[in-house]
Amino acid sequence: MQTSDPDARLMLAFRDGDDAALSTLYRRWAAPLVRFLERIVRDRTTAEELMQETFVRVHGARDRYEPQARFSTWLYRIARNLALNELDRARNRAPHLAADATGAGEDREAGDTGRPSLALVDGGASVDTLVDARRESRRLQAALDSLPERQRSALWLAAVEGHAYEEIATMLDTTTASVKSLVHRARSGLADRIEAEAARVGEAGR
Amino acid sequence: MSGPREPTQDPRGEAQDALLSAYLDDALEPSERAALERRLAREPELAARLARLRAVDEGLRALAAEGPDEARVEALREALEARLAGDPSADLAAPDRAAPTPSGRPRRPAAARVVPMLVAAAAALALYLALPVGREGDVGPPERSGLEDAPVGSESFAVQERSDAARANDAPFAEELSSEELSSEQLSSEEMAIIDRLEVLEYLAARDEGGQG
Repeated sequence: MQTSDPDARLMLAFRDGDDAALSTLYRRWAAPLVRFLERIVRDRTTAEELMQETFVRVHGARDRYEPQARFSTWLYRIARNLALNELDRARNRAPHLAADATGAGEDREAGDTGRPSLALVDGGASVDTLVDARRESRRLQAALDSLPERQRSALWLAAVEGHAYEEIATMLDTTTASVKSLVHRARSGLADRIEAEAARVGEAGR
Repeated sequence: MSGPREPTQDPRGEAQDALLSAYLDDALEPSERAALERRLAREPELAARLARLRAVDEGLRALAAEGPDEARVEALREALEARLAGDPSADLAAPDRAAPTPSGRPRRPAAARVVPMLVAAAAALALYLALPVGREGDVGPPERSGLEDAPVGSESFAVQERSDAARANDAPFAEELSSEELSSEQLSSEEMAIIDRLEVLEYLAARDEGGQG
């Protein structure tokens, strides 16, 4: 089967014995996958392990790979399934702590990566400006973590990773219409929550 | 849920948000897109809502910038290749982290990581907080060890055993509480502000160090 997807071609090359092709795929997708997985499991180390495990699965599927969808769609499907399994295991280990896949998370700061996204706003900005940026980042992270997993994943894949709704539908095993709705509810929910939180903090005095 | 928008009370707003959201994702038909852009030009409230939704995306992209750097990705690849090379016992865990954590353990919140040092740092902080916006180059950075890459030691497993009683305790600096008990919801806005400021100062110190080195 011919494919116009350059990643699928790399995977076919890997299937046919070109080991370097897998390294190329890894370098292209490892970091976005970690970021995506971190949004689901809300833990960087776990996300890194799951990313590696995803590539173990890709490696294992080498001989039977056939490009039916975009390579990235297939890759993210594997990754998300591993992440959801991991959430289930975590919930069984410690039900009161588990980052739930359905929202209503109690551990709202769990995905906080600690390092603020300050470099983006730095440019000689004042300490106060950077403190504000840190605060905003913290609020957004907490609000994102509180969304149901499907909303969280759909919004991340659309708004940050730039995947088309059709691809996301395949990744999340749902319909394009559902993805559109998930993304919109997530985005609106975050905008409303951040606005409400900012108002609340404003009223309380800074 | 504390969201101010009640979908059942505002179906029109929901539909409008759906349209704006699809617009941001470049998922509208050209004719729909053109019609929306005409409305945006003459409806400031609609444009303001679009700006708020767009700000969410920008915030998310800023979070994405906190992802693993190239060196980290490469270190993870080396560990992965060892495993794929036929060593089934090769540990996939992060090679350059002192103590691999059990999968699924929630990451220690940034707030929790810095809380233990807050009391000790309070006096020094008062000086920072009183400083004008511009920083003096010779002002030393705050302690770094508590702010980044805090070793995940045995105390982090205390989270597995925390009691409901302890979780209900909202005294943020009580010594008997593990730092794991704390979350941003248990900290006052003043305490969170100190944490934010500490992290910013640590960032600036690291930046200056990198620039000079």
